[in-house]
Parts: sequence; C-alpha cells; structure tokens
Amino acid sequence: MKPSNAVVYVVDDDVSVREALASLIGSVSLNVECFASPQEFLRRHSRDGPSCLVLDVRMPGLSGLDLQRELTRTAQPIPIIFISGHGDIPMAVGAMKAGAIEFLAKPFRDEDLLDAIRQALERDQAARGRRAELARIRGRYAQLTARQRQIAKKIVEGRLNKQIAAELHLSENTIKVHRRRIMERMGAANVATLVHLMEQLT
Amino acid sequence: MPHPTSRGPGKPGGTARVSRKRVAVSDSGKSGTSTSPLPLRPRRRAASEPSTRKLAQNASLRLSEVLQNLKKCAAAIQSLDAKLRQHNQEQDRLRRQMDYFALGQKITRTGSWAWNLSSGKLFWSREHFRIFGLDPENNKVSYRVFFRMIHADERAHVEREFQEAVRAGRDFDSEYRIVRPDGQLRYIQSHAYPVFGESGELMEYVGTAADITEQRQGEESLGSMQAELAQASRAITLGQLMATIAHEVNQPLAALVANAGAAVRWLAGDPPRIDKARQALTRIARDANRASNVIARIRALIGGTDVQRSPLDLNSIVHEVIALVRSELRRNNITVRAHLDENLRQVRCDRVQMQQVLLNLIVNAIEAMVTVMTQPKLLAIATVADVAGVMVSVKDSGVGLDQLVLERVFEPFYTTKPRGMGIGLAISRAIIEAHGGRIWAVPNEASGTTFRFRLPFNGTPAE
Ligand SMILES: Nc1ncnc2c1ncn2[C@@H]1O[C@H](COP(=O)(O)OP(=O)(O)OP(=O)(O)O)[C@@H](O)[C@H]1O
Ligand SMILES: [Mg+2]
Repeated sequence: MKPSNAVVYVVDDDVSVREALASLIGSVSLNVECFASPQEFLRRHSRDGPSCLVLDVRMPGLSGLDLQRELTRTAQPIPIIFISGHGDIPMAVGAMKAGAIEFLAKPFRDEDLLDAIRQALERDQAARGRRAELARIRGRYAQLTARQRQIAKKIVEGRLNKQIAAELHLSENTIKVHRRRIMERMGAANVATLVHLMEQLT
Repeated sequence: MPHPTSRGPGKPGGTARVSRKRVAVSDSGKSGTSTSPLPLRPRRRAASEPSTRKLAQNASLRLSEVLQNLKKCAAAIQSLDAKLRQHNQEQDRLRRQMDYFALGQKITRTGSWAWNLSSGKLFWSREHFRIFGLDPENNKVSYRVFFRMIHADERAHVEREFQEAVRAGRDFDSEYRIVRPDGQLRYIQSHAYPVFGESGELMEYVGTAADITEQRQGEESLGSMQAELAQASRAITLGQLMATIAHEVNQPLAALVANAGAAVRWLAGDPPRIDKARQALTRIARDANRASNVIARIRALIGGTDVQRSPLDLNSIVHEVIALVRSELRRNNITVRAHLDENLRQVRCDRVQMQQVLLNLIVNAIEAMVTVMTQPKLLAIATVADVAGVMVSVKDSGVGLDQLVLERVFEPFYTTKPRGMGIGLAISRAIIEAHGGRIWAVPNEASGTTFRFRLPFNGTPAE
C-alpha cells in the first residue's frame, strides 16, 4: 500500500542522517520531509494525507520522547518510529509503551526502517479512515433536531413508536414522521444500522 | 563559524577532516619543507567528475577502513570494559573490608601498665605481655626494656614526649610501633594518666596499650584502595564517554547504511536513477570518513598500545607541527610567531600525542581567526621552562572565549562549530593529564585566547 499523498516526516538533528533517510525513503517512491528539530517539526509540518514520523531520540532541546508526549496530546496522533544512537532499553520500553511503532537502534538495516514505515503508514491510513467515518457520523447526527435526537435514543433502546409517543406526549404519527427523517439523515437503512452508528458516537 | 577546511556542501568527498589525523612526522623533524604540509586531505576537483564506479570503489574502500577501525575500537572498548569490571570488584572488596573493620574495632586488644616513679618499677598486665610478644613468666620488664622495644625511628621522640608529660604531670597519649622479639612489627596506641598522692605529689603513671596493628594496616590498604577507587570513577566517566562516542559513530554508520540501501534501490528503479545513486555514494564516502575520523581520534584518546614515551624536545615538536599547518596558515593570512625557550630540558612524552595536542590547539586557533577581518591575524606559540617542567602556550587573535565557557570547552562534545565534533580539547586534556600535566585557557587582554599546557619533568609513567 503506497498512497500517493502519504508523507514520511524525518526529525533528526544530524544532517547526514537526514540526507540519507530522505534518499532512502525517496527511493521507494514515498514523499519525505525532513526537520532538524522537534520545534521545527511542530512549527512547519502539515498533515493532510496519511503520514508517520521517523524520530531521533536524542536531540538538543526537545528530545524525541518529549515530542512524542506533545503529539499524543493532539487530536491526530501520528505513528512514530524511533531511531536512536543509544541502545537505551528503558527508554525504548517507555517509547513503545507510549505507542511507538518501532524503536530502531542506529545503525539499523534499511529494510527494517522501510518495513516499519510501511506498517506505520498503514496504521495511520486505517486510523484516518476510522476518524473520517466518525466525523461523517457526527456530521449527520448534528443535523438532527433536539427532539429527533431524543427519539433516536429511544429507538436505539428498542422502544416501539407507540411507547415513544406515550412517553413524549406526542402522536404516533408524529413519531413515524420523525423516525423516517432520522433514518434518512443518519443514512441508516434499518434500525440495526442506526444502532451501530449511534454506538460509535458514544 | 565556518570551518576553514573544505567541507562546504559543494565539495563532495572533500569532507575528510584529515587535518586532525594522527600524523607521523619523521624524527628529524626538519623535513617539513620537502613534503607537502597537509598531505592528508585528498582534494577532489569538480572539473573531472568522478564516475559512479569510482565513487562506489572509494566508498567500499572507506567502508572497509571504517570496519577495521571499528574492530580496533571495539577491542579498546572491551579492554576498558574489563578494567571497569575489575574496578567494580575492587569497590566491592573495599566495602566488605570496611564491614570487617567495624567488627574488628569491637574486639579491643588492650593491655594495661603502671609505672611507679619513686621505685622505677614497671608493671604490665598479661595482655600487655602478649601484645609485646613476651612471656610474662620468664621476662622482666623495665622502663629501659620498654623503650628499647619501640621502633628506632620513633623511640627518641616517644621518650621525649613521655618525659615532658611526666615533668608537667600531664596525660600522655601516643602512638608508636614496636619491634617484638620475634621480629614482628606492631602498632600500639597508648593512653596514660598520672596518679597523685595525698599531698599532691606525682606517684605513678597508669596506662593502656592497645594493639591497633590490623587497624593501621587496614587503613594503609584502604588508602591505596581509595586511590584505585578514584581511578575507577574516572574509568566510569570514560565509560560514559564511550557511550557518547558510540553515538557519535553510530550516527554516520546509520547514514551510511541508509545511503547504501538508497543507492541500490535508485539503481534498481525503472529507469535507474544514476544521479541519485551517485549522490548517495558520495554521501557514503563522506560518512565513512566521518566515522573513521571519530574512531581514529578516539583511539588517540584511549592511547592504546602504541603510546611511547621518551625524552623529547618540545621545541622540535612545535616546529614539526608548524610545518604541518604552514599552508593552512598561509591560506588564512595568519602570521605565526614562535618564541621558543632555548634552554628547554627534554620532557618524557609521546611524540604523536604531543603533535596531536598542538595540532588541536593550533587548528582551533586558526578556526577562531577565520572570521576575524578587522585586525592582523596572529598566532604565537611559545615554550618556557622552569625548574619543574615546561609550559607551552598557543595564543591567537581570534573571536575569543567567553569567561563562562572557559572550562566547558574541555568537555567532550562541547562545540560551537557547525561541523565540529567537540573532542579536540577533550582529547588534548586527556593526553596532557595522562602525562601528569595540566591544560587551561585564558582570555587575552586585547583579543583572542591563549591555551596553555604544562608538562612536569617527572610526569606519571605510561602504563
Ligand atoms: N582558540 C579558540 N578561540 C575561541 N574558541 C575556542 C578556541 N578553541 C576552542 N574554542 C571553543 O571550544 C570549543 C571546543 O573546541 P574543541 O577543539 O574541543 O572542539 P571543536 O574545535 O569544536 O571540534 P573538533 O572536535 O573538530 O576539534 C570550540 O567549538 C570553540 O567554541
Ligand atoms: Mg577543535
């Protein structure tokens, strides 16, 4: 899987490493952008397509682990592959626990890095798909009126039109009209689908 | 600060920092005129662009060189590691010893005695006899016998102190060694106090004599162990240095492997990207140089096996190094002055290491003066001798050093240069200190900095 809009970000303070990784990643037809520091990355990177981050652990100023912490707090976490000049095991464990895809000790095999990148991009692609789907459902749900949301909740709970009408002091016909609207706006063909969609919102 | 040597991005392959390589200079030292002063940097001309094959060959050559160096470095690190482990064991032993100590102190071996002033009679307890290695049944003791047993070195002193105490009627505390009849040496600690009669006249002295031999001997070995411990902690910082160095080597190696992978893939593409592959190969050569430079310099730091100390004339070493950097100086419009003390005595040192130190200091001086445009660029190298040793100074009229970083510049990997490694001064310090000397920096009054080092005539011997 190689989405053409995928981008690999490389953050390393060593220019030799940056140049080499740019060339290596470029040689497998992936877009790559390099940054000399975490600060520069935070300032300049834009995330439109699927992406991942190849991140050096030890840099002057913000460390790679600091950046990881910073990024996990954002709404769109990015898969991280750590590269380190030290075989620092506790550090590696910490990074992996915090969700890193891979922790590679320099010098690493080029295939290992490329494999990790592929895996990271796939994961990000999937996460992006999930996020987009969620955004779509949210958007649809936002179109419902307050009353319709109230009714939708009761439908999901398994109430019949008659029961809902009684509980809300409305006519059964009104409920029927609302129900049709709800199914339409949420893009649900049947109650089972509606239940599935609503579940994702909670 | 731009680096004065050719390491710009436009000069692929010319990035070897060979001006720092260990350079062997012929012992005559005066042959600098015939050979090119900086023969170590292969400068490639852009005019005849190297073929990809050439680059690949060059890269693989460098690579095998790096790997070879790496192996040597690994061996050095291993031996260092072994040393470290040994020191750790020593540390354990020391700790255990101290436990024993506390225990030993509880078991006091103390004899008692009394000496009657009017009768001149001396009484010893059985334990006292035992400590002094005498049989209580068959031996008579007296003031004379006692003092004769005290070690000749201390006898007169102890007796004088004792007599003074007696004259003044004071307490008497003393520590001395005795030589027992069986030849054994024992450390004795003695406390005594005067006993006065009804009318206040001094009647006798009563005292104790404790055998503290084990304690003292323990302390002696403790002293030497503490020295070893200090060395161990130095070794630990060396170990930390090693970690940083590993990082410094792994960095170019990582780049190297990635570049190699990239080159292969660019060439395998359809169509093959020769241009990209060539760039990658050029970078490989550069990174290989970088790695092998780190290693070469580290090896110089560790010293390794090829450190040879002999009595040398530092003036001639100064001449040798100046000859080496002459063209570099000329290129940068730097005037060099040497004020060399003619009466310099020889100092025991390693020639190559001394060259290394001087070269580091002079290259730094040159680098500090590159950007200076407003005033004449002057490099002054001086040697002076005094009774205890030789002092060498390297003075520049460069950008100068902030008071705050005067000490920091000697830390490994402290650098303000974009392409600096920051180990020139760290290595220099390690070398000078290994010779029992000292190195430091002082800001000049007008401008620039002076680096000085002192080598004592009786420096520490090489291991
Ligand atoms: N003569 C000098 N004048 C001003 N600053 C100096 C001078 N010598 C050293 N320094 C400062 O000390 C730092 C450390 O020097 P050192 O020689 O250890 O490393 P470096 O020159 O930066 O790199 P390299 O490892 O290539 O020698 C330099 O980066 C520079 O900031
Ligand atoms: Mg230097």
